[in-house]
Amino acid sequence: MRLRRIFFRIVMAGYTENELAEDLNQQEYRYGFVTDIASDVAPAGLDEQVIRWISEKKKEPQWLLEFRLKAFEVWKSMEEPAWAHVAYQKPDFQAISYYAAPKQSKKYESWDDVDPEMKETMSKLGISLEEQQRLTGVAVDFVMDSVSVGTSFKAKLAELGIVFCSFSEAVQEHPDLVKKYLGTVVPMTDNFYAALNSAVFSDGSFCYIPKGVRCPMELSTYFRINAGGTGQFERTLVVADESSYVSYLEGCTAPQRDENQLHAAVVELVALDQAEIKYSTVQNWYPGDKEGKGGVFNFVTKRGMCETQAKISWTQVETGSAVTWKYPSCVLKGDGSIGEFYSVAVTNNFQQADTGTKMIHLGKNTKSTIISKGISAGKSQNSYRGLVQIHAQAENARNFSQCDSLLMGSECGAHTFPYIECKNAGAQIEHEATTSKIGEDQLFYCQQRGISEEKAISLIVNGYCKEVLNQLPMEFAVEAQKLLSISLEGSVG
Amino acid sequence: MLEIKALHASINGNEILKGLNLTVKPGEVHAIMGPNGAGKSTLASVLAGKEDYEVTSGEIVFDGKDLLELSVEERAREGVFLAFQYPVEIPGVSNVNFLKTAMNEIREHRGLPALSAKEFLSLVKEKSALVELDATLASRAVNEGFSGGEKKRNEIFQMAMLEPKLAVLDETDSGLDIDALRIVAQGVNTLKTSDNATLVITHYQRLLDYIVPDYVHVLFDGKIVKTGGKELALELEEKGYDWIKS
Amino acid sequence: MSENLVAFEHQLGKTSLSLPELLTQEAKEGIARQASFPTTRDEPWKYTRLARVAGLSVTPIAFNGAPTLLNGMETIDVIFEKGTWSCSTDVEGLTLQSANAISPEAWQACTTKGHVQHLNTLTAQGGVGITVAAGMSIQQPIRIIHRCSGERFALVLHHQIKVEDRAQVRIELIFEGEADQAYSNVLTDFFVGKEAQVHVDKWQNTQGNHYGFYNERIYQDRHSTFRMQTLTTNTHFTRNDVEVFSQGEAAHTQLYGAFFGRGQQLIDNHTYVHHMAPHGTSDENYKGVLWDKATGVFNGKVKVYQDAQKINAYQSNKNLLLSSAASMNAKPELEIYADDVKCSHGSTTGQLDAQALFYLQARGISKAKATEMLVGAFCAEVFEAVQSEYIQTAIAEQLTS
Repeated sequence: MRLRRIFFRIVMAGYTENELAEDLNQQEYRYGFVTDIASDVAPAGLDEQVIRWISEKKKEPQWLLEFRLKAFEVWKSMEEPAWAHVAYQKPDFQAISYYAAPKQSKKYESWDDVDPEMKETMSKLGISLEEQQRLTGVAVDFVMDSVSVGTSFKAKLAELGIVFCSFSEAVQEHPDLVKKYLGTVVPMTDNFYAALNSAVFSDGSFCYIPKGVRCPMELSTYFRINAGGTGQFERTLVVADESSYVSYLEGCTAPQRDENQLHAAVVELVALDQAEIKYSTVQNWYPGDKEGKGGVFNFVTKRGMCETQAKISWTQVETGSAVTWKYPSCVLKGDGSIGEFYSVAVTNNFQQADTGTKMIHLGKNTKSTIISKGISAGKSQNSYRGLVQIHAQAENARNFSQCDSLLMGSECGAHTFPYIECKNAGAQIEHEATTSKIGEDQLFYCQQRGISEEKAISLIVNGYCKEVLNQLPMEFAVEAQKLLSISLEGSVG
Repeated sequence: MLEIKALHASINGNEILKGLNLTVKPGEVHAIMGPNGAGKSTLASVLAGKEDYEVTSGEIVFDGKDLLELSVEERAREGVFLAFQYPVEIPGVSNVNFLKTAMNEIREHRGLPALSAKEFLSLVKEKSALVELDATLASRAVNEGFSGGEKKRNEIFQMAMLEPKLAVLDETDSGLDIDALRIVAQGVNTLKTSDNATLVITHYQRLLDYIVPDYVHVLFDGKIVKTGGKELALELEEKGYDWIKS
Repeated sequence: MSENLVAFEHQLGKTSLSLPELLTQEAKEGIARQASFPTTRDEPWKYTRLARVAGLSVTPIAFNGAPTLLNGMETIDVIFEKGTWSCSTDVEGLTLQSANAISPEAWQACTTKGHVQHLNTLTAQGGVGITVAAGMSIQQPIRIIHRCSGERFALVLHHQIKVEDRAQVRIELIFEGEADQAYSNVLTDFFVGKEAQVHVDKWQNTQGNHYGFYNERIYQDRHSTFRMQTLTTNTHFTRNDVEVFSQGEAAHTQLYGAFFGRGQQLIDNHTYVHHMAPHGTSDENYKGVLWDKATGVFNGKVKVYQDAQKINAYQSNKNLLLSSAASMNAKPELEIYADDVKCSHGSTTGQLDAQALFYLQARGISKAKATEMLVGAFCAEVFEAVQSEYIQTAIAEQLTS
């Protein structure tokens, strides 16, 4: 087996001790703890002052402040989208705090320096630091409330010319790169949440892989919303220069809270000629309790731009969030470029997910593959929404889509809304979708072999999702399998 | 080992089993024969605990336990194995993973430690040879893309792995060619001990040329109407089921 | 553009039907609220522009009077032509009347939704009311023929077809003629009783610059069967909305369609099947063939309601693009709220199999002829479902010309 090398970053946002105690009493959501570290939180509300305050706090250059202010202007003129198959109380954008950072903002040089509270947080997240360090010399860059706290592996990456750091750091140290690519894939005018993010983004990750470099380890960011009453608005920008390769992992958790927390992130991927980016997400934001109270609103814009013969592959395992609105997409601009989307979305209790992808075929001989597996249980609503668009000049384009939905329980819903638009006669598009309940005969077969119903469901569901799980790096796949089982616990009565 | 008394069972309000009695002792092989619609497969499903069937009266005692009180998986863990007439496909779940999960659940129930990967794999190798099952099938998804014969052999392979006390073979001969039939029967015969028992449910006599029963029962209209030795099967073959009906 | 819908409604005049007050009120409010024609920002019209329709200046054709009977031999013909309508023969178990003669009570089950239906509710100038009595099986097919030619006319009709319990009937809906700058809006309601069987073959072949909007609403009671084939050829602009309310247990619905677009033609097929009761089945199969700069749209939606268990719904949409400027937009949707269901859809868009084409050419068949044969084969499933010999023959001729 290939040595696992993961460069970890964790982004988090603060909370109270009471909440911590309460959270620990509730076992349903394993990641519902709150890390007790004092944080620096912006006052609630959003106006030009707050944006200037954030920008100043981060010592940003003038162009970035202007970028934010312009985005804010755009955002004010936009309306929250209502077309998705989800229903929720619209967030009060003036009641949210747009910036939260732990007061401890020093950058650590080694793990020993890391605040024990943070280490505790990480182990609760299931990341055994010791084990990782023993395995590799894994460098874990642990960023909490948007501040980077561990960088021991940076030197090694730097030797190859790879930049992997927090977004704020990138703005200070690599302003040209950031300026060149920021907003080029997801323009600030793209949609309501993207505009909001562009105005107020707190931090995030930046990654640059130079020409011809194959990143020798998987780069990872772990996101965590921590502070109460805050929104999280991180921004990720990954640039893979010509003929380079990078595999990037992203994990998300949040503490249990009665209120709904807003997460509106933007991820931009740039794959230049012949570059390849593999972007994997395991999203497990707090989904709300069994009565549908609380949980994260996950409104995310993710898009990648593929230049000539470049390839972008999105893999996502979505088990968390109260409401998800997310469509990781590929713009296949260059001839011969390839886009892939592999997704597992699980909803239980009162969760609602409207997720899918867009494959925009602009270049000749472009190819895209969509494999989506939806699983709905409890009273949840799970929708696949996708667009395959073949433009007139996209000669010989190919798309294959397979969207399957599995229903568990009579009160949930599974929906499929694919849009297929073809303006080129040389294209071949195939779309298939199925919806069915979990096979009773399969369950019976497993049980007849002595396997309990719960385990049988887990087995069958994991089998059903295999095509997608196979796309994940092995450690993530194992974690994802566990998450699937946890998410569906008690879903069949 | 197994005692069925005055069993009545129905599906969707239609009574299928109408007072069935059967006693099976360790070491015995019983064959249940009967025309289509007699209730053969219903008996197999009721023994395994399929929920679609409602037991309206009667009892089933297995090893001193009230079988009807047990869930499907508890019955399996107690040692009831059903070789399905139509084994289901489970995409994405490998045969090995499936069997390992099943074995360890059963072992846990019996207070045994889980098998190590090495122990498990050597067992797979040994038992798959028994039914001449291609070793690569073990790593494929459960029954997915298996031929009819492979599915049936896979059932017997699982039976060999799980070592049940009572094996119920539901029309295991259906859809098998003569070679596959021989292999399957050989597997069943090899697994036979003085402690376990086999219930062979079949429409045709030909399987009984290979798995020789101690008793042959004729099931008709939800009841066992005739019981005899292995020669009864031959008689049935010769005279047809109309002989029973009249 | 502002309020162009209101203006458009005005030029169509007032309906000659006696509809319930509530219904017309709802339509009025709907038009007032919307005020202008939908744009491509409105989801149901995402791929179909209505600007040209909004700009039409038309005069409505009224169809008055009682039905005239024609001598029916092999078919029972109901013909709408040049402001008169005629229909044939009295057959046992079959009642034919002008839609104008239908009482408001008998329209009670009607609803109105969207601007096309609103316009129809407010401005329909006739239609036919057909009732097939319980248990009756009508041997001859009933052909409802719309034969309108001319320019700047508006044909707005509302038909009502009641097929009572256990009755059987075969219907043909035919649209023909040559029109210029004309507008059609034909709404047909089908009430399909318990265990009743209805077969409909629909052929849209109105040539010229004609904008056609066709709505079929089907209400199915338990154990009923409804089958409809929609064939669209030679039309400049066609929008079909077929909406099925499968309200009774174990009803079966079959919606098949084939559309052929050439030149700058636009053909938009919307289907919406509501599975509201358990054990229902539906089978949809639409084939599109597009040449030149034609545009095709297929939007098929299946909704399974929460208590509608054991539903089996299948939908297939396959399209051929036979020239580089043709385009196709497909949107197969599933909205499912019950768990014990089997629903699937498939959609493909592509070209003719190059190998098959080569094979035929290698046997000495010209490319044009080979293409024609393969297109025929591509649509065979739909053609074979058509029972109307008249339509079959006409389409076969068209495809080979």
